[in-house]
Amino acid sequence: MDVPEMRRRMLAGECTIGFSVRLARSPEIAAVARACGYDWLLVDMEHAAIDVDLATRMCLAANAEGLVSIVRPPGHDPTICSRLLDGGAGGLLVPHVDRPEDIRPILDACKFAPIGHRSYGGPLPQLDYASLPHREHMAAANERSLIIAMVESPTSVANAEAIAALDGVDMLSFGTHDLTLAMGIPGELDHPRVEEAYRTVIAACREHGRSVGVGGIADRALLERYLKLGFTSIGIASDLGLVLAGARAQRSMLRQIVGR
Amino acid sequence: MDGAAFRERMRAGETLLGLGVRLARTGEIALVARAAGFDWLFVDMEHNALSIDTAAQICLAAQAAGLPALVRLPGDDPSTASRLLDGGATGIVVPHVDGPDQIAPVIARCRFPPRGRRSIGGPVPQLGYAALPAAEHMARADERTLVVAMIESPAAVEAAAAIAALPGVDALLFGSNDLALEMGIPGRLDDPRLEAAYRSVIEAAGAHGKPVGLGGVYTADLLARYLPMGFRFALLGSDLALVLGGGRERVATARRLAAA
Repeated sequence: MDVPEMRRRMLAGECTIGFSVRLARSPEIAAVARACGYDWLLVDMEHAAIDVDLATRMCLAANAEGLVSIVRPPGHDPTICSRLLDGGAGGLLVPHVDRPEDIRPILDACKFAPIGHRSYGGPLPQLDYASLPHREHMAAANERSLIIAMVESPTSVANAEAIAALDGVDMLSFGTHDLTLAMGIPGELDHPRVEEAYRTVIAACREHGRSVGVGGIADRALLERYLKLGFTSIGIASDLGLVLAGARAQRSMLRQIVGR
Repeated sequence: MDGAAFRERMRAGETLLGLGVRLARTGEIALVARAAGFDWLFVDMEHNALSIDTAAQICLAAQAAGLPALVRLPGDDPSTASRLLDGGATGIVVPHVDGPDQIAPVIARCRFPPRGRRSIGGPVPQLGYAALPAAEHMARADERTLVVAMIESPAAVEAAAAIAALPGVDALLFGSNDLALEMGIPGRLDDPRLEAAYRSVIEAAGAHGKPVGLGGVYTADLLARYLPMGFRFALLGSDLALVLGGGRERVATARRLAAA
């Protein structure tokens, strides 16, 4: 799957499933995610110490595996975002977008005209290093980058419609844990205010033809309840979370057998 | 050649030719560039994912090979610039400088007092790690440090005289592709408006004794037209572009031969 395909599938209502990298430092993790059947790989620079160069190596590996590569930058620095796209990232998951102005400089640096003022850096891995006339290169690069704004606060929920309306934003995605923190209900993922926020943002995105994603929900019953609301992207698995869960389960089984 | 010699040779009327680093991750690229006859190395952090550490290591290898290494920053962050100089860069190239205010903070961090506010970080590779009296260390380091402002928009062309007038700016460098994008003539590197911009900036910078460099123009016909205008340095493309160009040509030849 490439970026236009992922965009098309999500807009058709299909739910795409992602795997996030928090622990691994080898691009091999992309092959692992692919073997498990995930659709996209999220390289997390916000909560992992991965640098731009390693992030792009993981993206190149993910692209080669047929996964859509998405990087969450550490913050709102536009130069990190454009370098990630120059290096091969299929998309950016921009954390903590409370207002349109939080993401506007990133759109400006990451989209070519007429949307923004991205700088021309030569042939792109996402376009198979094609030497295209510049206008074609610009249009193709814009088409092949997915920009996702994260909704992680009540302010962001209130501004969801304005954020979704921005030219160049493809999708809004919930960081549910941080949202509950900002709401003063930390970790209460089943709180009615969470569902209300989901509904508000999903309605705003439908209005503007954008997709909506959700992260942070691992409980099966909650997932079943929330996915019915209309999310078209879900990311709940990180390599660290899965290693921890698997290792704890195995350790506990062995404790029962060996007695310590 | 150190930074002072780079400046002197441009003043004497030479045109120094540089190779861009986009693909390589080891200092060996400096030996390759020297063997091919290049005069300097352009280590790109704007359109390249390499870390500041890798950039510094490539600079050290270039210095050992006798090539000055100029690093293009991802943006205009002053602390990135001073860390690169502390790590061995001969010079700093600041992309997208639209006016003197934008580059002033970077200059301040690249020049020691009284010319700026660069912090002393101990012995530097550019001075052979010499333990010099502070005043001498500062003067000699400044003399060997180059700061280059990139001209990549109509606003920058307008402001060229004011940018060149800054005492801490050593040279101006055209980013021709982005300039064409911002002029609304993407890819039209033969457009008379581009030539007019070259002419006006070379004249404005010349009035302040500052050389101008050409970047983004790589075809023989256009180089033949533009280089004699008075460019004192030029970027001839990146390792990636050369691998792609040479690779495509060689494959085409072999396929033709195989089919014959």
